[in-house]
Amino acid sequence: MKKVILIEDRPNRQVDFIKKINKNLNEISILENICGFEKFNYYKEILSSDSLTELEKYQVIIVHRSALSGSERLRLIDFSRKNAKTLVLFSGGISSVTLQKLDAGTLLTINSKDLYSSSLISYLKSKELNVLELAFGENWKINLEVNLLDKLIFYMLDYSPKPLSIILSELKVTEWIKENYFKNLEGVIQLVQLQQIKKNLQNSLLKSI
Amino acid sequence: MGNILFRNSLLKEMKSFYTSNFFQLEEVPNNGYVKDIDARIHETLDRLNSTEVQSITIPISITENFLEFSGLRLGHHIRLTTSLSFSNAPIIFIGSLDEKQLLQLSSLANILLTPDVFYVNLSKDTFDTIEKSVNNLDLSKSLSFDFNKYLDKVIFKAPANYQSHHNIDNELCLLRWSQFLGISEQIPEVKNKLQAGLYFKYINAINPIEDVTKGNSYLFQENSKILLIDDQSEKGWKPFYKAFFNLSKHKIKFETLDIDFQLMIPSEIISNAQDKIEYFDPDIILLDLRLSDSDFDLNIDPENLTGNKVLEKIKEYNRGVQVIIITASNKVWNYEVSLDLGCNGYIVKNSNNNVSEDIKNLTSKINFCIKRASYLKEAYKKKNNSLNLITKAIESEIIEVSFGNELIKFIEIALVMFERAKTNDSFAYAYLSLFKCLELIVNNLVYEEGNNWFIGDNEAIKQVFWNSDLKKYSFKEIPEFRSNTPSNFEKSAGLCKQLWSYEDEDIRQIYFSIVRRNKFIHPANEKLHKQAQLNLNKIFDKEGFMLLLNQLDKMISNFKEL
Repeated sequence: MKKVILIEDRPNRQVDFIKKINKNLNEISILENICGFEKFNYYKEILSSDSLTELEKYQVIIVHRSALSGSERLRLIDFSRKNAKTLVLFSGGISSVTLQKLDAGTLLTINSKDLYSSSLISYLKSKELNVLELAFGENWKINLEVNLLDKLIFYMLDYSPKPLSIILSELKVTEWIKENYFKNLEGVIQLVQLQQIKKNLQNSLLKSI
Repeated sequence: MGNILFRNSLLKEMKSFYTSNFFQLEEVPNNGYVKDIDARIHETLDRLNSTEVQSITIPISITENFLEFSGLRLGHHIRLTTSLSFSNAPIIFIGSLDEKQLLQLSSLANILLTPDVFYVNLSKDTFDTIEKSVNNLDLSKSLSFDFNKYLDKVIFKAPANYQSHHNIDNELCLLRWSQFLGISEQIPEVKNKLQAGLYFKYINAINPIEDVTKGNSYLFQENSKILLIDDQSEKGWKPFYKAFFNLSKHKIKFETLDIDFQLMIPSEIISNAQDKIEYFDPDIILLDLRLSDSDFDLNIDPENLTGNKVLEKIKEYNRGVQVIIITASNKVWNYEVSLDLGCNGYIVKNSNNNVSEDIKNLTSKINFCIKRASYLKEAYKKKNNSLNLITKAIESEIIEVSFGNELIKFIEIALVMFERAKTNDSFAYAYLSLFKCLELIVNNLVYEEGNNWFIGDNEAIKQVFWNSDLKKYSFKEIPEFRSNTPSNFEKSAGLCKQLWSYEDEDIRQIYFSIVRRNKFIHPANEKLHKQAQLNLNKIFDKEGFMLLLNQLDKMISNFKEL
């Protein structure tokens, strides 16, 4: 089943990329690769129209940003927000990667060169479709760890013991963090336990950076 | 004086993290998610520009993800936006990693090593510490902030782009050239996009655009037709050149090859370029070497660059059309190949160059090419025409193969010498080389049998002379050739008047062409009349060559009458 749609108006760019990685994107089972010509024109019409229902079946929508007009871009962002989609906009003109929440959805803006890299292949091959991996490559875990570390520092300031479930919700803990830092905890969590998590995070970051 | 604290989503979520009103709380808004981070930061700083600021506190990331390092990015924007009222203010970064870790993760962290930048680890006392420290800061220090020390410590790479750094260099160069000429308003899209970019701010800081007086130096010296073949023409270069050429009092007719380069393979681009060149017949072509995505393959042979293939076609069409390669690449081997193929100039679009020098260089190259195209295009048109006529005359057996081929060779040699001629002597040598063609023609078409001279179909040649009584060329009743051999003029005049019925003025011009050559080889001892000397001096510039070339072309076109 196709979960990801990639809409590219510049077929030559993708051909160059494929040459470099020696991997045909068309062979990746979850990817609907719309690369130039008639297929692109068909989707370009959809993107220009008022109805994006055709895109509802995909979990992730990747589009060349410059192929969209300003209003088309806004409509697509709004669609992704309402339908909990991961929207990836790529372009050669994007200077730095930005990953943002769109209510239930996610928006990643990324440079074309960073998108067309080995991270894309790992991303498409992973079951979870972890957008952090697409955004930050192999450092994606560091991103989660530092985000949690920052939060914990403030969270512990006037902390009073709370059940684990509340902590996980208040800290907006991701599955990976939960699995790696909260796995053996249960019930009401004491400050000292959070301090230990903070230490574990710091130790892990010392090792990985 | 305010103390700004830029909040990220974490600081916003922490409801009562700090109760003092020491900080003026600010943030970089999302702006509907459409603009990228540089544009959003630029707009935020623009809004705050009138604020009086004592210090600025920034988390390592002001966006949702730590690894975006958007806080560090904001810090660099503050330093590099030199028009900002607080660009020199002390900056305090806050974060949970140590400085060494940050330096390992991102080169943006180099700002931590620059003057008046401080780093405070996140803790319960972070904001108290900052407040106390700022109050104790010697503010006069910020007045002596050394911007060069900041620049020494930081370095920015061009934004990653799938096709190397050429695109960003290309755009930065466009903006810098436009700003220099005062025409940046005419490329608003590029201007707005780039002016907000951190890399552009950095390039402008390390290589500032000098203010210059605008005026006559940008005027072009003659009317001309210029064609731009550049896949980036729709991204600002078209309006740039339009505005640039409009600065001239002379009329520059400017057109672009308007095709969708990205959707075409190289052969389609080349074929479209050929059609456009034949239709527009430009004097000058400004040509980019990389016109197709396939040209960005690092292993591509320079000869196979689409731009070089188009260059070959241009020179096949008319070698006199002047081609200036305009590229963001400074790879000299690409230039060498283009030079071998006949390009006439090279401009490197490099954002690090001195803009004033770049524009001066661009203007003088275009002027030089306008001047050369004004005669070389015509010369090569005539050459191509003559060669076609000679080939047809050979095929129709009007002239002998050996004579025709020899004539072709000498015309080609003369044109090569003419194209290279830049000095008086080199123009004269090209002239002599072309004169050889006149000698070849008259010596082949005027022939001796027995003691008599003939032209055409065994027709005895008549002796042409200038009849000063009638003020016209006439035939002598009985030829009296010196040593019984007609001179070059007598042979030429015999052919032209007797066989091809030339007007007297045309014969007179052939006479001048022959005298020009003779006086160059055997200079006269006596001083000539000024007008006569001026006429002879035409051998030393393009005019003499062009006169002779036109005369030869006319003679060759008469071969069919033989």
